[in-house]
Amino acid sequence: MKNRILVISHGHPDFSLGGAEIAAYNLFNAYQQHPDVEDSWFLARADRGRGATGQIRKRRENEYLWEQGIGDWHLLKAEQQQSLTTWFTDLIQALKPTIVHMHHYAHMGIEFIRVIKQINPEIRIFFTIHEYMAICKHNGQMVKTGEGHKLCSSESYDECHQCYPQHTAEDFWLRKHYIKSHFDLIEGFISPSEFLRQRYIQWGIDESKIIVIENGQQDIETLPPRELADGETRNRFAYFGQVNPYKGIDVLLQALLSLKKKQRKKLVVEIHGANLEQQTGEFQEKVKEMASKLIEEGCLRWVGPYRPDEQMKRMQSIDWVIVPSIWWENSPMVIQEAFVAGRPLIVSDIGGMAEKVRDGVDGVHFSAGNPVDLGIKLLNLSGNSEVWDNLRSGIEKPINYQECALKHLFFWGLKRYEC
Amino acid sequence: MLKIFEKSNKLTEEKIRSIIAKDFDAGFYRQEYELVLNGQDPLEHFLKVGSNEGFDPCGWFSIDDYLLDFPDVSETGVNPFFHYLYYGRKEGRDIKPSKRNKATLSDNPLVDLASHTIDDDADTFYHSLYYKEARNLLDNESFTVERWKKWIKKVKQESAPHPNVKAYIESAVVSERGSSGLLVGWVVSSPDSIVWIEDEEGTPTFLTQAHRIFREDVYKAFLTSFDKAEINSGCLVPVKNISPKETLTIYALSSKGVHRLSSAEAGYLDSQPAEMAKWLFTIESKPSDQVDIFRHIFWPMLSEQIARNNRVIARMPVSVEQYGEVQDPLISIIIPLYGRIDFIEGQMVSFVSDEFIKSQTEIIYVVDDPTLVEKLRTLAKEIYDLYKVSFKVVFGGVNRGFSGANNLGAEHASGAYLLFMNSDVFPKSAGWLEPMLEALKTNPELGVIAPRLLFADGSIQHAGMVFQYRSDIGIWINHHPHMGLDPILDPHQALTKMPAVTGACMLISREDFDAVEGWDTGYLIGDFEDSDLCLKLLEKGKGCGYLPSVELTHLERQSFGLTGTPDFRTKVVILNASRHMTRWSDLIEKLAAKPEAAY
Repeated sequence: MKNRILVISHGHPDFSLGGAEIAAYNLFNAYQQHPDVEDSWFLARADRGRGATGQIRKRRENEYLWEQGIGDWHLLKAEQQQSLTTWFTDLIQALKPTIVHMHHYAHMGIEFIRVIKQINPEIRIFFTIHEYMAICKHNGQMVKTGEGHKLCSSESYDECHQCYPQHTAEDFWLRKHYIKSHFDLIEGFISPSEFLRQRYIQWGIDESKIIVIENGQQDIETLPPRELADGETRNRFAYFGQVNPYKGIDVLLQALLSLKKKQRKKLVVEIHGANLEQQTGEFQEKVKEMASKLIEEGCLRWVGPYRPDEQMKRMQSIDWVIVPSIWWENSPMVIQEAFVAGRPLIVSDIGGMAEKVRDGVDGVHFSAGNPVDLGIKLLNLSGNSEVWDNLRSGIEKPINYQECALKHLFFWGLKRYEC
Repeated sequence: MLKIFEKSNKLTEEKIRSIIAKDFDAGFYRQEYELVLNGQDPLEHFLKVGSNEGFDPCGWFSIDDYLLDFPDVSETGVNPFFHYLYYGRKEGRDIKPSKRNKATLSDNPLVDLASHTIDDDADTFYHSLYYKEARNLLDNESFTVERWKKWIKKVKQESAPHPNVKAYIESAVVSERGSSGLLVGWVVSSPDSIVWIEDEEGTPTFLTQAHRIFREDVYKAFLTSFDKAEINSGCLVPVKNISPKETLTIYALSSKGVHRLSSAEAGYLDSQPAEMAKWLFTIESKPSDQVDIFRHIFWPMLSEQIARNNRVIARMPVSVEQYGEVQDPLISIIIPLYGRIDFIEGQMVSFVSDEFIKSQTEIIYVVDDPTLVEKLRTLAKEIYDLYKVSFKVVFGGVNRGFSGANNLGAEHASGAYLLFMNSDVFPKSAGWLEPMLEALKTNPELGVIAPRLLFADGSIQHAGMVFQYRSDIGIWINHHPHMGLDPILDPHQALTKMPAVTGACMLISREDFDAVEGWDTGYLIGDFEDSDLCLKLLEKGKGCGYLPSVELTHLERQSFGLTGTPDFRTKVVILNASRHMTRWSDLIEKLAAKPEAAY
């Protein structure tokens, strides 16, 4: 029997350009093209400007939007409970998927997993985990609440209670107990990084049930190196992505400020970032204050947001990509995109970043959250084109969408064979 | 004591009779004890039997009270009324009721009253004379308000706080045009307590007639008292025949007498049904109590006003303007207009290219929004000049709501079939109406045909309706199954019987429409009218047909969730659902139990 695959995502790339929703959507498209797949659909949670009505709407052929929300963020329960047993059930019964490949439960609630199994226990559910939400109540970041953004390495009821004094340690036991009961209905888990996989094995997922498949990328030729003028060096660095406190943009700006003015003149950093205006006033002011001085000097260019189709063009005109996040990350999409473009990276030496970028092979690590270390590395790398050439040649091309889809189909086939 | 005996010995029966006769009220006595008298002379009866039985000789003297207050009198065996007239008055034995409890309740009754704990002297109360007398009265099959009023006058007015009943009136309202009032408050009392509300004429409404709801605030304030008291302390009491500004008072009986607990003046309640509902919705209640309150308290009040409104509307003048000519139409297409009129042209571009519509139907726009009248006059002329499709515009003076507007359209329709159509429903192409008519004609067991309706994005809006029980709220709602799905995923692809269909676009024969007396106008603002009509047809043995092969586009209205949005519109849905359920729960439950057999 051919597979009928329903991909469920917490967002639709038409409205929201997060890495997880893009990965989910690309997989959906790849499934559709695969000859072993009878049909596939994409169901994405969406806010159509009228709140969580619980209703489902067709977006285009084989694509649906679900106006769902979270009613209880502690237990990750859906806001529109009624919708689960009516319209969502209608959809599952009508589509008759053999496989549901879910990419999230945030914004939708975790109950739909149980509902699918109730409708038809034969439907196999696979879950690509993009964050640490089940482990950490703090937006799945595994970073402590409060000042300093201290990293957290594993869940503990007492430490979670310290982050959230309003919830007792027992509340956190209940939370895990509840989430875990839903995870138990899932046949297999996919993690884009070994780092995240290990966190979930530590948390309680059987290690035989969770594998690593990296997110697929577009299949294009590696970009040629940026053309250098006479005497110019590989001194163009760029940041791509959201501008929020966890992404370490302030670490990057501080790194520049930690250099002497004369040193700064030797390099240029570009910020291709979005959503600074959505951050807290304090963070915004801090970033703007640091940035304005650097922009005036000419060592910083604030380029602003970009559309996905503009990204490769923007990467063409830079040499390095910086990922200075102060949280673990999973498998940042920008790392794979930089590899597609043939651009070595400078990344924090923690979590998914340390795993995906090999220090001295296809990029350079710096001490996470340490602006002085980053500053020195920027300075040294900007004057050394030979290192750049070596790192560029160390880059391995990431898997493309089709290869990624194939790995999933193989995983599912293998599992079925074992059954 | 001895002295009295001596004196009484000197008194003849004749003298006693003459003294009593001066103050005896024969009319009162006859009226009060008519059944017992059975034709006897009142005075004779009183002298021989009545006084011993505690029958009162007049409105102002209570035999029982006098004997209770002055036990020495009963020891003498003298007629108590005579005793009072002959000795008691001179001795200063006061029979006047004690002054009413003037103690005012503090602004924060919960805090204030909570400091009094309830004494457990219930036994004293249940063994008291007052309790027995009151119970006798209340439990008697021939209980009348008059008898109660008479008896209560004799009961001592007690100024001390009631030992184990606490009560507070939070608000009392009565509609401006109407006599039905509502008292909102709370009473902490045991189930056997005797508590009532009195209007200014002394007419009691007993607490047993109150709709009781759980009040968490009161429960917490009187926590320790609740092992004896009824857990649902909140009270909603419909009070008949009161007028605005009239004072309502809660009283409770104890072994010592009558205690006044709380008073409030009845305020005005807007008699406009929607405004009345708005006020009623401010009464806090648990979601699970809502439907009961809506059915038993709100609807009787609202129905009175809605019916009154409908009678006024029926007398409103109706204007009709005809654009172009129509001859012997087979189908009358009735389109109510409310809020927006720009939809007209969106429909007209389809009608104009549909020969069946142009030759076999008449189009009737019912203006259900007075603000549109002028705008429409201009637009109607322009539209007619451009398209040359004939239509009629009917304006009924006021906003009549969905049902009222549709009924008005039907009054001005001459076709043997009626197509009710919302102004935001748009045909996709010509030829949509003929198959609907065909389906209705060839399936005599069907009373109504409705097509598949699609949202602007092409997904299903209407594919028939089913009734779904919401156990959290306790209502049946109209559910649109498969909404939002691609039409190819609709499990029904040919004419199918459904429990109900949408009123946004439905075809019905004039005969059936008249047989069920049209659209029901008893709902507030509008909801459930379509399923109501479907159920009326079903009751007459006619089913609802869903015809998926005909597709029209239905633009999306603002949608309302039933949970999480405590706004007015959501409560209106629940309110209407509760009325719908009151009318149809038997039929709906039958449909739910055996769907295929019932429709």
